[in-house]
Amino acid sequence: MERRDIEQLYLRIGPLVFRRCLRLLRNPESARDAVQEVFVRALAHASELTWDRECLPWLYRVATRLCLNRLRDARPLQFQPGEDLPESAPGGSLEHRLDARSTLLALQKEVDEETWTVAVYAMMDGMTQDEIAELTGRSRRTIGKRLAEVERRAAALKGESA
Amino acid sequence: MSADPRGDVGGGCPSDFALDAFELEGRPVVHPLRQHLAACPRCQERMEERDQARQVFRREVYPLTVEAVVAAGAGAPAPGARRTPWLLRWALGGAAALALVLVGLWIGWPHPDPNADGGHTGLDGIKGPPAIQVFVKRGERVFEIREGEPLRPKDRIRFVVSLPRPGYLRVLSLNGDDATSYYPPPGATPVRLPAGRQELPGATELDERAGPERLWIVFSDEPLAFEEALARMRRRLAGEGPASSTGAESETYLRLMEFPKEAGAP
Repeated sequence: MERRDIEQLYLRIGPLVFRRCLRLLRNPESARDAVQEVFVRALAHASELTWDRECLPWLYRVATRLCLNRLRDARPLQFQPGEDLPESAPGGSLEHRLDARSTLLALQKEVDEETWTVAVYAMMDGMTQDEIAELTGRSRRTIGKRLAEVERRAAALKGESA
Repeated sequence: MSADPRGDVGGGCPSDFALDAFELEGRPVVHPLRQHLAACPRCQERMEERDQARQVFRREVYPLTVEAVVAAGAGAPAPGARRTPWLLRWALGGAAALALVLVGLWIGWPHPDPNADGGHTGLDGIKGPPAIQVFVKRGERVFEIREGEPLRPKDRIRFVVSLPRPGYLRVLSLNGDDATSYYPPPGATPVRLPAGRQELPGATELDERAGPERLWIVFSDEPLAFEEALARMRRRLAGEGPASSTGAESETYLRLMEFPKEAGAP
């Protein structure tokens, strides 16, 4: 691929991936590092990607997995008090978003990785079940079951902390 | 937690995923989201935020990352083209070679004399030393490693620095005659880092060699070429006086720490 092609791709798609990584990592430097790594991986799969709407689920999956792994591995770095307040989420009150984030962090220890990823898509990203199904390659019914499990676990956590 | 596991969006607003798809489609004039976006002030704000984020990316992310991305894509097929198997193998081999990395250590900095110059270090006018931490990922465990604690082959290490002022940083490794740059990556141009706490991009995987490893940090007001930083390092190791021999002592910190690295499987 010519340098100019890569630069144009990066300028066109990079901001979307950067926003995704920043939303999860809450740290501009970490998000900058992550978007670079996502693109390095994407270019290694260039023959499989169309670089249009069709590549978005692939980019989301890779970026999400990368960022969640980093959050898991580097939580002492990423979750300093006062540093993990959500940025402008697409909706909901600040209290609600804080509650959702703290619940997600607690849930990470309670459910398997796939279920936790589904929970992130739903609770942090506000995705529909159809969107989550597209991203994960699972049926909508499976997503519904995962989310029901998340609901149960979250309710149990609430009960424990009350 | 909300009773609605969808959480954030609500009100029929599209998710970020939907808006990303809308953008990748070129924000078409005729699109199912158009009607909602025209009527929803909150989503209009979201679209404005996306435009701002695009500018932030162009200004603060793209310049620092594009070279690595371009390097990774050098062997990739053009958009819409098919890649031949041998080229794929070549590209993957190249990526593996680029990923080859080295040794890692915990770095410390000279402690300033609090009584000197009103709390200044006397070396470069910095009040208080830059702080550097090294975090290790060993298997599934991530922890901070401190001076004297052994590293193991295949450990992955990552640096977090706290800089009292903007400047240029190099992290160099020297093992016998072999020298390399952990940060910035070999061949990359040093970038000016802002003051404050920050992770250095990229992780380093340690090699298989056992024995003490040496790592140097060079922090300066002006960018130093790898060769120059390496020359200063070698002069220091040879006991040839101060860290810098160019009269730039007031601008440069050099600090060596040795760490044991255990042999054998991680």
